[in-house]
Amino acid sequence: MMIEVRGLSFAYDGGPPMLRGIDLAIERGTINVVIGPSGCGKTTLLRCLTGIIPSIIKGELRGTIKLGGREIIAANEANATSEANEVCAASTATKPNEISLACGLVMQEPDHQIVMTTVEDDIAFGPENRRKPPNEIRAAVDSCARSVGLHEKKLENLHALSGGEKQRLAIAGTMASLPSILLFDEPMSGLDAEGRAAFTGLIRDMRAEGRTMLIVEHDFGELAIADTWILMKGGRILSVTPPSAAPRDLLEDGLWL
Amino acid sequence: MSVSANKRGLRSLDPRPKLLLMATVSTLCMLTENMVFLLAEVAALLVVLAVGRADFALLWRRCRTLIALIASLFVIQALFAAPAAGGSWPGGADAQGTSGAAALTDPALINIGNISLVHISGVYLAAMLALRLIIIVVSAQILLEGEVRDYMLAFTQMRLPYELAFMVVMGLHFLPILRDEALSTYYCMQLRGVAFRKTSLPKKLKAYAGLCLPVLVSTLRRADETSTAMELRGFRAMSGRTYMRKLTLKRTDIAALVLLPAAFIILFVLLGWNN
Repeated sequence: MMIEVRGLSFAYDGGPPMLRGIDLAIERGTINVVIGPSGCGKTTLLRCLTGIIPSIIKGELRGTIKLGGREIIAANEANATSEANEVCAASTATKPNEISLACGLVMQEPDHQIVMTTVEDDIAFGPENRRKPPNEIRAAVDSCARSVGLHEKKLENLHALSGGEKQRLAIAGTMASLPSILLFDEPMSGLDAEGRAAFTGLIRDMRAEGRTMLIVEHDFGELAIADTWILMKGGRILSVTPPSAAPRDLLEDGLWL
Repeated sequence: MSVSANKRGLRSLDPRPKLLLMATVSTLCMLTENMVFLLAEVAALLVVLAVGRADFALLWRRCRTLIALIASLFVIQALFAAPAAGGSWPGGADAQGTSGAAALTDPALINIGNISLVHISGVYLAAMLALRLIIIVVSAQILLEGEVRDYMLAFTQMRLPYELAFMVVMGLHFLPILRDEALSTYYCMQLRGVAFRKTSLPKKLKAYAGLCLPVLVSTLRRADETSTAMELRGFRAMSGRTYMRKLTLKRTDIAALVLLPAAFIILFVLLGWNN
């Protein structure tokens, strides 16, 4: 399994539980879409998978997460005689920058993710952090810029890009690091119809390359190519099924939109 | 606009000569007490900008906002500078030395009753201060004729730790974002009926106080998000990092690296050494 989540629960400091005993197993080279209403815990789940929780955002965390067989969050239940001990044990987690070597995240707001001033420099940022040789970085930048349709704009400054182009840049920047796991937080939100079609083609290609993807989306209709739909509500996973077997009654009664 | 499409003059120059020139010019203007040298330094900088095809219209737009600040500092310095000790003032030193006569007086320019408000020495010091500020602003323009990303590469190739280089560059990258953030909040508040103009001073101050808080909060939030984004993209995950591009000094860069600071140092030796 590429992603293994066992008994994951989380509550922000002083807040109600956002995740309640999540169990999830995701296979290598698959596209998985998490669907659920606002506030159901989708983004919190991504934060746990990237290590933002508990390294940067603190709270009450329990459970274990393994990415590519490596344990990134581990609650030592054998030693957990009290709730406080459990929380303490779960907080011994891998740092986000170490997790990022295997797992990339495309954030909901591209402006939050883009850190450099030009398209090519931003795409190169990840591979540079991984100490790739310059010729490999150049090749990755060319390939990723081309695949998201930004090749002609490689030297552009960020302020010259539209919202949709920034979204595509955020995707290219994450892809360039060649992580084996890619997480997307509502990647379609800033894209037009053409951009959505291009994104669908892109994730299909990445699946063919053997990369594992977990996509958080509201609009499940766009992602029929996914291998599994994971339906969430109230911090729990209700079902994990192929799109064709997804419980239509839940999807069609407006609960998810 | 493309980053490299219209590189010419100072823009085509490597960042390192520009950094060294800025450091040299700023240091020399602080070391001297000679008005003539400061004037010569301003003139020389303008020549460098003209030869380097700098955008003077842009320079004027940037400096225009600082004119009021420099003028205020000039007035404050002129008003509050104490009369020169012994009645002499720095500009009169030569005359005093050659005549061997009694110390030059430091006449008051403005008197209110028995109180002397502004002395020649104060005006002289204020003019020196204003010139130094102008030199720093104009020399900063030389740095602005370049790309932020090139300065980051220059810093790292000058063996500055890359974390520090990024800190500097992220700060520079952040400034236009902050300006946009402040402007959006300003327009949002105006659309919701807050008056920033054509209102009494207390109301204006209150409105601006209301503007500062959201801008401060969003700035802190943005800084937090940027640092998280950098971590999530592997920043500092490994010891050190590589770079896709490398700056190489061309002949013109080497010439500028040596000749430009040397020219200013010679000017200093000729004019600014003996105050």
